[in-house]
Amino acid sequence: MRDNIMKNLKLGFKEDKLAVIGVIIILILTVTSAFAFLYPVDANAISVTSRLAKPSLIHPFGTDDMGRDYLARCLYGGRASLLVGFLSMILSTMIGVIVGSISGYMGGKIDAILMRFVDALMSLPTFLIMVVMNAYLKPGIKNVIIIIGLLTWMSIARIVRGETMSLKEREYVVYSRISGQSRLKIILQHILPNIMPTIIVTATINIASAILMESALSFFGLGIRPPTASWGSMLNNAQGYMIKAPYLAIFPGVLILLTVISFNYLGEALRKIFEHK
Amino acid sequence: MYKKNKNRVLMILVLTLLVSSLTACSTNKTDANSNSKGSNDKKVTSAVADNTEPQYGGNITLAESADPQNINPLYVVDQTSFDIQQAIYVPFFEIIKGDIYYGNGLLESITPNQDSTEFTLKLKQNLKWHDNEPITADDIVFTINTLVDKKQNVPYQSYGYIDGKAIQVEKVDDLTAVIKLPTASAGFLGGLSQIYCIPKHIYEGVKDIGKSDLNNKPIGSGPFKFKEYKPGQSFVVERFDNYFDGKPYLDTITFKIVKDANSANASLANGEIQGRLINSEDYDTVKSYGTVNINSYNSGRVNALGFNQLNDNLKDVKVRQAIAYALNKEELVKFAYLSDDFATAAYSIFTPDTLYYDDSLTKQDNDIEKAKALLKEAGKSNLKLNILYISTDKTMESEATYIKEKLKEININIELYPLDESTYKNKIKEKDSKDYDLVLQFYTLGEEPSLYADIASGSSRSNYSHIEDKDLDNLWNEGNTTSDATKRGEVYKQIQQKINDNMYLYPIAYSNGFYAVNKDYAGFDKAILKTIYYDYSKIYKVK
Amino acid sequence: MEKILNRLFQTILILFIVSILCFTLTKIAPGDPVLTYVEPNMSEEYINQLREDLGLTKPIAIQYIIWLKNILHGNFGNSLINNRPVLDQILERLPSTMLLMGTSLLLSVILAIPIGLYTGKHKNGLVDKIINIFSYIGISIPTFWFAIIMIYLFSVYLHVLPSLGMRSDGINTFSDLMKHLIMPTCVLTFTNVSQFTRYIRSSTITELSSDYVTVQRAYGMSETGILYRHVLKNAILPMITVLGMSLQGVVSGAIITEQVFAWPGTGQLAVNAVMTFDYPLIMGITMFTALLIVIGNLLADILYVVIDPRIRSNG
Repeated sequence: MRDNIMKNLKLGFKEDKLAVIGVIIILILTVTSAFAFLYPVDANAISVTSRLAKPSLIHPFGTDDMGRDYLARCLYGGRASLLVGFLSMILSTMIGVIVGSISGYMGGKIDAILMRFVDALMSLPTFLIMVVMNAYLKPGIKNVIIIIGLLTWMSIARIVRGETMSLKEREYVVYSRISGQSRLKIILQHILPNIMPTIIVTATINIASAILMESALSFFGLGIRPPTASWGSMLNNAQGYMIKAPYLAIFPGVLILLTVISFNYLGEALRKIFEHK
Repeated sequence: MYKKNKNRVLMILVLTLLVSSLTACSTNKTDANSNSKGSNDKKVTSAVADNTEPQYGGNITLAESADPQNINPLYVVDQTSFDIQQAIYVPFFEIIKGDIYYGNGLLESITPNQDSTEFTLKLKQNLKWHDNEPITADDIVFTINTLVDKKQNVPYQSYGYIDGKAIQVEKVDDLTAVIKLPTASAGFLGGLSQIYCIPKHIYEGVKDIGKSDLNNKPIGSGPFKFKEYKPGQSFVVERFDNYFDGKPYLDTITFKIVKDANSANASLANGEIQGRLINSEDYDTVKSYGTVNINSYNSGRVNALGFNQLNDNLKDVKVRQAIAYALNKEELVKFAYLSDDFATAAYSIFTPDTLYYDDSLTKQDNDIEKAKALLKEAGKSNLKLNILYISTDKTMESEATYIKEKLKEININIELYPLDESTYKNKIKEKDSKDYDLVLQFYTLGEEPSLYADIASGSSRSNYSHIEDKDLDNLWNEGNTTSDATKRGEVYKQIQQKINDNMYLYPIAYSNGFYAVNKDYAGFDKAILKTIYYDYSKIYKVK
Repeated sequence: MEKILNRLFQTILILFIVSILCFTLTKIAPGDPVLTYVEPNMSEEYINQLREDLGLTKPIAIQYIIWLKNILHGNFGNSLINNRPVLDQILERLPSTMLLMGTSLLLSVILAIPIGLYTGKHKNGLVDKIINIFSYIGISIPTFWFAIIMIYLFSVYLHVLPSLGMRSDGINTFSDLMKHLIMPTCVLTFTNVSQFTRYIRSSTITELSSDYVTVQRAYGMSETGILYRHVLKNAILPMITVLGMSLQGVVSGAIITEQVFAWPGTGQLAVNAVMTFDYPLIMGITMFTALLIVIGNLLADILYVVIDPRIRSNG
């Protein structure tokens, strides 16, 4: 099974050059953000004298309104944005998979209750609730991740539930059930591996939407706690300097766009590859 | 550039409503309000002399950052309502540079008796409410009685009480009323100048005036009357032809609600809005538009850093002083306000226009070695403190960032604690909140020194630093009840010194306000220069 | 029929859960909600009185029951800030939001159907590739960034479009309204149309490769005929569900768009409520929006059953 996936992946990526570019972009951004400390400039060091400096040799991306090196901030900002993207994806995928597989496998009342709960959550104006929660809880990356994670797992749960329900009726699952394997074991051993492709696809796209949500929250001055930056908060901050220093908006804006597009595209590419098999 | 110490006006409406002044100044996003509520005295230095001939007619659209909450002048606590109320109501009188000014006030005179316990208020002749009913002494009596009525819960109630006792009011004849004070009070007139007359024939018998629907269609006394209000969009007022102080030039004023500061600036550029209060960080951007003039004025606003004394470390005066010494105030101001022109470093908790302002306070500033020594004496090392501020306020964020970087040098680790505006307000209003250590704040309290007790006396709700000092409290009390000028001066000097020596509060800056106006309009020098209030009747269209 | 009844019962259950979530939402906010109301001058007694008046001294469960009862009577409470009924405030803002949302959704569907069909039909062609790039940008761009770029481009530099609000001052014409509608609609539509196009494109591709189409082709039916008679219908059907689901996204997306363009809708009201800690208003808007979404989904489901006989018989 696993080998099969890998083979498909190789084949798929060979065909889809854009997906490869997407992966490369994601890798580059992840690596540069992770190794941001190698760039020997303090992202939080302020300067009274060199504010809003245009991009130059000393400051390749210029400086922001507090005189901080913008390249360094973009690197560390990427770290925050990607971290929010990855971790909230992991959180939402975990909840989604747990709820979805339980719901799908158990069926009956448990399924009905869980699914109504999912329906209810999906009916809430999610973004408004994120704004409310962010506004009233202590700011910080931890809360952003938790809030986004807690409010975006529903679609995964639905998808996993659907697939679990159909897998449940497959012969080998039925066989395992009859031979007395525990439910947990069946879900872990037989069901999850089979819905992995779907989970991976959804999770990839969820990273993209989490990064976008974080930037949207930044628009309201919520989210990551300064002086730490995220691309979203940098972009929001840059709005005030659209005329004086447009590059402040361009760098983080383009970085967000590139990252989100890459994840979205990668998600779709993966979907195609998995469907092919 | 503004000239210092010229033509000041006293007080603001905010006074006790410190918090609302905080609201007002917050946020670069919602902020149309770098001058907080009631910022008074506007020494305008317009880039262009208004030498064109005033003409009648037209509309001006001014940006407001939020919907008005309550236009009834006795209940106004937010910036938008205050701005609009200025068009619809006029005060009894104003106080400019310590002198009473009757210009666009309802009163013709106010006369104290010998021991200043009785004041006779005389109305101007032929004053009319917007529904053309006459304004009479009955309205004054009704207004004062509403003010002191505990059930009506007027936010400015304390102006009607002296030493816990309510003032009393009596009608003498149609145009005259007498207010009797329980004891003489130095601050009484200042308080009264903040009170606006409301019409008795409209509000009589209403149980809860503050919550009444009548406030949605206000009947006022000012140069403009209510025309229409579309929530979320605009509040429009139109000229009141029977206004007593000269026919207003404009036909209408539209207060347009624009929440996003960047959108608001953009529409200032394309002429969709014609006037807006801007922040120092907007200054260059707006200036580059070419279609607007920027009027700068002394906002009367003080920006300060508070030390929450419920934190044991900050209870130690040496720690507070160490923090002061670690910072470089001039640099901090320049960093947060971008230019010396936009704000000046503050050392007293009073503004320079405040009566008995002391400019000779010892500066505890910019001495890292001393700061380190003080910390050592206090026996503190590796302190961790947070600094609370409003997340959307750019100035505050710059300050917090600067303070964090600077205090690193004396090994104090600062964690920024930005909160959304409403959460910030609730946080500082919470009694005995230990959640914050350092707190950035703004206040606008005017020329009358007794009002500053609000932020630095033990019993006040706005004492966000939780200062507890019996001697200081006694001094505040003494200052308010003494009428002898020299003695008062002494007391207030002592207060300023005491606060400075103990570093109860770290004043950062006295900041300027900026009003950006489209070049098609003039008269702003008269409209916002003369008094504490906006006199919208003087604004006119050039072409 | 039983299916519909069942669905109705589900809807009520969902709404019940939603109401609990809404109520909890404002209760988890730390701090004392009454503080919003407090001015430094107020006496301690008055503050306690306020707390009592607002029902904050009662046990949480009782508070919830009272709140729910009021809502069932159409009473969403009064704003803490301006004391006006919450429902009134929502209803007076609703038309603006509906106008913006409606225009944007309609436009998105109108644009997405032909684009989706075309790109699905001519898969991997040049047009498909270009559209694909745009649709990826559409779903990946931060809304406020896009909006502010539009404002600077069309309002500040080119001076062709107004950037604020719904109408110019004192002008009450249809064309003025339309002008104001252009930019916010564009921002919302860009995202929606990108999403919808992708759905339609992929279902077109699926349908075109279905056995049914192969058979039709074999019978010599023209390609356009196939596209219009068969594919169109089956590719659009899932759109109903997608539309139902995107209602929520549109309400949320409208929060930012309304904020940037000062559009006087419910999104702006919501942000206002959050920024002033006006919790009856926050609860009211959340509940009201959820109500709209639940009903929207219900209608979508019913419509689906009505239009698509396959479901009716399978159900």
